[in-house]
Amino acid sequence: MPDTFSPEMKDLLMRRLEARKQAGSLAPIYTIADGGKYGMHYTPDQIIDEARRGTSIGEEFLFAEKRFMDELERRRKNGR
Amino acid sequence: MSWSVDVKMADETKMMFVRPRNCHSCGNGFFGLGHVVEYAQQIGAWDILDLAEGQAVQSNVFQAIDDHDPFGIYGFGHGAECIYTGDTEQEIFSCEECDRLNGRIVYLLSCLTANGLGPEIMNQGAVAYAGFNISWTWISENVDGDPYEDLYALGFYQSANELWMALLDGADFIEAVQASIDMYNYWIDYWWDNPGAPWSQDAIQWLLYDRDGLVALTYCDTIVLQEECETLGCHWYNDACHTMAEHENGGGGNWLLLLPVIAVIGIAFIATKK
Repeated sequence: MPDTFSPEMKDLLMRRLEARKQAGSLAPIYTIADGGKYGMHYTPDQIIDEARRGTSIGEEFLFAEKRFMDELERRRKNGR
Repeated sequence: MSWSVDVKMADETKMMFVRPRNCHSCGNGFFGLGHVVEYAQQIGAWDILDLAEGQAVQSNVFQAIDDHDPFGIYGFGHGAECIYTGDTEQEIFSCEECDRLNGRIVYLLSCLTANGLGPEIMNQGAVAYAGFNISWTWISENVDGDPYEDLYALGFYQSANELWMALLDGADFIEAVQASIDMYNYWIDYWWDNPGAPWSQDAIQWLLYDRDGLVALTYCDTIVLQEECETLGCHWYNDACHTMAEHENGGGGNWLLLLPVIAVIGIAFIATKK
């Protein structure tokens, strides 16, 4: 299950999501759970809205964003 | 063994797939599991019960289990902590009603069931369970179509399917879980090597997320005593006994010691050639 984030980390992750949306690199996604306001298909705007409102699915969106940052760091330290 | 109920052995020559299509965003799952059904039929070692589209509802699933007693069940559909649903998005299995899974190996490509339903399925005497403790999430450019024809969706469904494909190929349960993880890793590396694709980061992060959310439970997870846990080759941490070693993305560990039980699961898939 997702960890909880400090306000600073949540702010960083939100800024990353918004920057990626602006750049067109935030993909629409599908889930097989209904944990938020929009159902099982989330557009980039809806992803950001869920994350900002802190819904259960929004927390998962932030956690996945953090997961990429962790992997980036892991690969930088250890290689592939 | 520490199951709270008697474990009955199901019919190892029968295998069931549950693949709804008409629930929200279920087209990819319907077609995705279809590849596994097709592969199982090609091998020809089992009687295949393929509950697809409108057949993927509780009444039909229960009837098929009662009539045919399948050893393996691979189901796709929407889920939550204590519920797995079908074509109408109505309950098929829940924490209150999953005793029919006694004696079976169960894999649910569904969201969050490892947080409630999965453990309860084990409490009801399942031989093994695999599922997810997160909202299983994917990227698709055609959610109503075949994910194997969509490069983004392909990695997600191929990775998820690999668990059952490996079982069909004769892997034991732990090996099959690891095969699935390996496939996720293959696709993570693929997208890492293709950073120019517009959604490569999302593909990587959601594959990581899904991979790390995969949970596998066996009889190990029903043991409450540390000594028994370690004697039987399971893994004791966080004051509980586990199938999987800690921090291994679900694989590895000294699982060879589990062979007496794992063999039951594996042999059922290997040795039932008609």
